[in-house]
Amino acid sequence: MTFTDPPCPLSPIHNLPLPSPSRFSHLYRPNHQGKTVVLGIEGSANKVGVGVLCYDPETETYQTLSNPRKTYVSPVGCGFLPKETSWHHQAHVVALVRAALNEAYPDDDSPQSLSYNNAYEHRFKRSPHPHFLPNRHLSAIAFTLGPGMGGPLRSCAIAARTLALLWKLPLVAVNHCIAHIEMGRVATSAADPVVLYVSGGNTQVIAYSDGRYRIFGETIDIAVGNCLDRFARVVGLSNDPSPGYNIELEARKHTNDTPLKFVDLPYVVKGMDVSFSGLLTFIEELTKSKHFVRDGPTENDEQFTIADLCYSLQETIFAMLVEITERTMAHCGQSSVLVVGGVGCNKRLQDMLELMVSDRGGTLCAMDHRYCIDNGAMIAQAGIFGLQYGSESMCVKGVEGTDCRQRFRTDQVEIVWRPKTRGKHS
Amino acid sequence: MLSPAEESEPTWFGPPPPAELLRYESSDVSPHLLSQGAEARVWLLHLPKTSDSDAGKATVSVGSGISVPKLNSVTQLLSISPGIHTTICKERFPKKYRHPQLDISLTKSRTKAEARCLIRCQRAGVPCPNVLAIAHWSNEQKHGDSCNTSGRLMNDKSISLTETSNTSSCLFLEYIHGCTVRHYLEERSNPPSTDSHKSKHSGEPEVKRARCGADEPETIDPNQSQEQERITTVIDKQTLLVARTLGALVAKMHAAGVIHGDLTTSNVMLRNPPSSSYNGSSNNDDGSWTPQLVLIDFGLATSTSSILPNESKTSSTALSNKQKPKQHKQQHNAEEKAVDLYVLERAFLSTHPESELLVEEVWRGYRSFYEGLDNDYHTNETNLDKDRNELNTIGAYSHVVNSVMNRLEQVRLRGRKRECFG
Repeated sequence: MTFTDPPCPLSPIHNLPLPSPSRFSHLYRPNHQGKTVVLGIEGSANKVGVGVLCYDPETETYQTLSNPRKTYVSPVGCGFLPKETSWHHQAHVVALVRAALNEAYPDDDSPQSLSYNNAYEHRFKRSPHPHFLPNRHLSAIAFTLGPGMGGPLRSCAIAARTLALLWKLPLVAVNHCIAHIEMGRVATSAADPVVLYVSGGNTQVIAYSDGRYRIFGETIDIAVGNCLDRFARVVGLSNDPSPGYNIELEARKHTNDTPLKFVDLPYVVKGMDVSFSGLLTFIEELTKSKHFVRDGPTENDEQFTIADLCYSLQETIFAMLVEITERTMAHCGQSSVLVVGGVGCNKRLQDMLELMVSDRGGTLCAMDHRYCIDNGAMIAQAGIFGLQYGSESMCVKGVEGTDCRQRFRTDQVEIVWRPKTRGKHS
Repeated sequence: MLSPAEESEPTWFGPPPPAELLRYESSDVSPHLLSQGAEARVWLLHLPKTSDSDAGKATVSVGSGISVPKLNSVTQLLSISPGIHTTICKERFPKKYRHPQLDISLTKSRTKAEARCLIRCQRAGVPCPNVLAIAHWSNEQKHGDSCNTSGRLMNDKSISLTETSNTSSCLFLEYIHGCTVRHYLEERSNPPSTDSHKSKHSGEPEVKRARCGADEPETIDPNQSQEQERITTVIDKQTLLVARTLGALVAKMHAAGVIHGDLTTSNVMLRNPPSSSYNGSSNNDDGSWTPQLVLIDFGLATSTSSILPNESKTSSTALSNKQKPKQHKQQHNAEEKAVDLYVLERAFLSTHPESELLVEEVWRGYRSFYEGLDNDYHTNETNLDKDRNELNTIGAYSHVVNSVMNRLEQVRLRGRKRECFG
């Protein structure tokens, strides 16, 4: 589990020097061991996750103590709807908080060597061990303020507010996109990368400049993950574990010996922006054509299968994403790329980015699904930055000002923990 | 874009350039890599100094056994063109990450489209680089010859595999001297002490640059005095003039029916950066300096129908009979133009912090160009105009610019562009 991940050092990411906690003592205090521990609650889409993150001032490292997550999987051919997703989150968030705290502060008696499923049951059913005192061990509760789906967001925000009132802890309101970026930076030690943020709800190319994460390119209609999900729905791929992963599996049938057919699809790059809705309509129409073979092998060159379409779709949309990322790199003079978001754990996308970045003499920072996909630890990570550096907009005093925002742009948050200068690409 | 002053070893990323390009030699200068953009490498080639009579035997050293018919025609063409000593070669090299089929169709179609749009702009009198030649060359390195490349010589099997995907499309363009508008604005914004950029400027004394940057009493940006540590964009008469000229230039290009597709401040060159014409007296505020802007990088450009009245007279093309576009066509164009402007606006605001006033000035310049067209139309053609009734009290071109600006408003508000979701 995440507990075994090594701690991430603070120094390589070139943040501002950490202010002393006394400056913000009205907001938080380190725990009895001098550490700052934040519990983060995420639930903006179909995943609900709780993470516990700890900053150790002695080693100057951040460590994820626990990061359990639960995904609402909708039936085949159906997306996740706000109402059902909210119910799912409401049903699981308490158990997840419990599991996260159990894992972060294990009872000495609790068996550590259980198999995953057993351990899961075990952790979910039990209360935190008797010596755990929330007010003493934790410094703050971080939660997702937005952007996201209203119902799920509010469900998790209510959990966060309740815990904050119950345990008398300050609340930190976190922008979901910023959380993805900060988690990626800390986990991969990327100081100032161009960020490709690709998920079910967002498609943005971001670079830091003068106190903000500025959006250089983005989708002008639907997000890339949305495009993949909806295509999976049309051709009847399963939503378990995620539609995008099943598309990836289909596309992996392409090998040098048995190449899949590349079907021409619209390639829409407008400046630094991309568009997917026309492409989606086009590929949906293709599945109605007489050449589309749903099952079985193709008989002639005209025909194509689900795997062919999955392969062509991935090749086309990822090429568009890599292209706008490369444009941003050229524009900003950056050489490293960080890819975050649910689609970011797609191996083919990572490979394509790697090819592009290595051609430019840079490095690609990519993560696996634990940190790419929405999770609680990333909310805690951005929250702990906001808390430690005393971000006015993120640290809310009470439960006022914690109204969720379904629309909340990445560039609306002032990044107080990074230097104001424009860095390398000034 | 870097200036030629930075003479260094050509170092490039990506696949090795076509052998034809590397082997191209004039006197003793090999192609010099100017910049490696996102999708293309830009080479600077020094042309052989030949008289017109020598043009036929241009100094090209071709390795044995390789036929390069296109190269010969290129050099011939270039070396007989008077006044051209250097040329830009924009090489769209194959992208390893793209599917070969996708890569080749994108590369070729983009090169062709770029050339078309450039020529169209030239005809309409929009300042942009001249197109000199186009060529498609293979990137494969054969015979293990002089090219210093890692993937130089592959065994026969791998060559046959990658054969289709290994084509570079080269577009030869006129070389524009000067600096980009982005560079200019940043130079103005940065305090003189940070001189990291200065070395990039071609042979300009440091002092002049500093004077130019220190020209701050005129600033009318209210935000600037408040926060000193924030980098803000200098807004004064000079930068406003540049912005206004830029707006008029974009308007002219749109009127000629070209949508640039990638309007950023990096893609506009300033032929005469003010500091280089500085000669003793401050010419920053006397108004005598007029920026000569040149649009570059039409890599994502598309063309629509032209609405320029003058073009019908100068170029006897099919455009001649449409002086006023039809209503539905106009709407369609308004969308593309508005998106083009929106790209520019966002590029401005994301690259140059707090440059809102400059953006407004760009729009003013854009409007003024169309209003100017209206005035010409009225003064020149009042007597003989047949479709006078189509012109209301508000001119036809003002109508166009209004519809574009209204559409820009819609594009700004459109969906997630404003605030993102999820």
